[in-house]
Amino acid sequence: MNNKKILIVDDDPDVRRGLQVRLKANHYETLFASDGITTIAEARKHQPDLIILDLGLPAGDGFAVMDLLSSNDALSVIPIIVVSGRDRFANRDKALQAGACAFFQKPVDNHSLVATIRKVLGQRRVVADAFVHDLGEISS
Amino acid sequence: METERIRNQQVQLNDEFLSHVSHELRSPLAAIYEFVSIVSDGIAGEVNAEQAEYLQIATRNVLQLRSMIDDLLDVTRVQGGKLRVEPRCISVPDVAAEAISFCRSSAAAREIALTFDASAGLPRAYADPRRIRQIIVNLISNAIKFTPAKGQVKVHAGIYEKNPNFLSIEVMDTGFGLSEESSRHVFERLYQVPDSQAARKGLGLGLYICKELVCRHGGEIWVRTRLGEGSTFCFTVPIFSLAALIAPMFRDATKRAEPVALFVVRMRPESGWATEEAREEASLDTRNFLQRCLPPSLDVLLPEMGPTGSGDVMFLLAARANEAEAAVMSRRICEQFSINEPLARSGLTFAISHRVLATAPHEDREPTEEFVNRMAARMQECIDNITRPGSDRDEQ
Repeated sequence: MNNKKILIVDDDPDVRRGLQVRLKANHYETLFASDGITTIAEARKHQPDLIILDLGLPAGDGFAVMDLLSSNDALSVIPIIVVSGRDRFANRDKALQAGACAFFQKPVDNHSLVATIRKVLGQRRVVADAFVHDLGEISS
Repeated sequence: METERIRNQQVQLNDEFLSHVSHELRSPLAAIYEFVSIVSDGIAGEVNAEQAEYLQIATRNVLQLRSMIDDLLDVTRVQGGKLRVEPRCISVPDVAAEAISFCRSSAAAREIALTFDASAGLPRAYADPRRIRQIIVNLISNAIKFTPAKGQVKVHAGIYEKNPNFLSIEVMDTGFGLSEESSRHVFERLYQVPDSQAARKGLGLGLYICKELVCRHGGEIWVRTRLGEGSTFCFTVPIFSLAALIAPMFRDATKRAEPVALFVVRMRPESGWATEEAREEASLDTRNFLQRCLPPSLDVLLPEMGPTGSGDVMFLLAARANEAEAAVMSRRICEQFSINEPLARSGLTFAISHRVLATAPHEDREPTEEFVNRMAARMQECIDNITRPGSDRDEQ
């Protein structure tokens, strides 16, 4: 058991249930929300390790949720993976700009999703300043 | 005028409708896919061989439905002029092999022999690997659909005999073939072969999308067929040519003597790539980002040049710049990298370095084409040195 908590946000109960079963099988603890407002409340209350977020939500869509999360110091550190039925070409870049660390389009390849979750949860946070190393001249 | 306005309005309405419908179809499909895969992965208990087979059939059909939805969306993109291709330096046999392994189970289900062969020493193509895979999958799926059980589908890649600057990819089947009338219309949107004997006709969008995608690569697509004698669908893609890509940099012959700087940006994940798809997406994001860093002059972002020997992805930029200018450019790209939020969150490390190549022409009157070829060869040599396995040993 690795005790990592994942908040699953989707307005479709079947999608939430499916993700719950899949994540439980991978030994993650799951929490749920089906709208924007509840998502923020649940995130505050439980401080999850990761949020899986749908974009089309009642009471504050996915982008509004990311906005609210990123403006709160304690919540802005929670990594977000967007899983949406919306067109990836129109929404992927927008979601990444808004703070998501990955975008998946429904239906999701579960093995890639689990691999990405594992990677995001295992990853150290990157310090922006130490980001680019100049190697100088390349040998030729 | 009025009728045209109404027509345009209708087209837009159709597109909005299609885009909405395809989005709405995805949610229930996602739930079906999720639960079928939960059962078939054995999460809900052990699955016996017979159950596994049935689940495989369900999965195959879900994926087919998904590709139809993708087609619908692609069509709305074509209409809106938003169908994008991202050409890179790719191996067509590698991409074809992926397409074939994707189609393997549906060919096996109809006992159709699916084979692939490529001419030896085929040069790389300049094309979008995902889109080429999509085209080949589409052509193979069609071939399987219109070929009777125990038939054959052969895929072949070679140099295009009528134009050696292109590769041709052929998908040949032993199916029913098409009438002359049908073969003229088969690439049109929503066209259906009349009295088709295929069990399922599909949406009539696949070949239309293939044609649009091939056109956006600068290639052509056509069919050779006769009723009762099977069909061969062929398309062409340009062969990758460094000289063609860098030629615009040297259009102004008076500036030939100015040096060329080659920038190398290496991208490295902190702990390997989660999936091959994650690698492709990160590469695409970084490419788009680098493209935006370039001044809109004569600088060129070169496509991926093949494996680096490690898990790194390498990006190459060529610009007309001397040592001092190149150093400034290098710093500017570094700055841009550090202030880009999604990249900063991506857990990737970037390293940038550059090398300045002198361009001293052999003689003043050297024809432009020869000069460009010579520069391309010089640049290729430099790139080979950089991308050679082990050449990154000096990295910390």
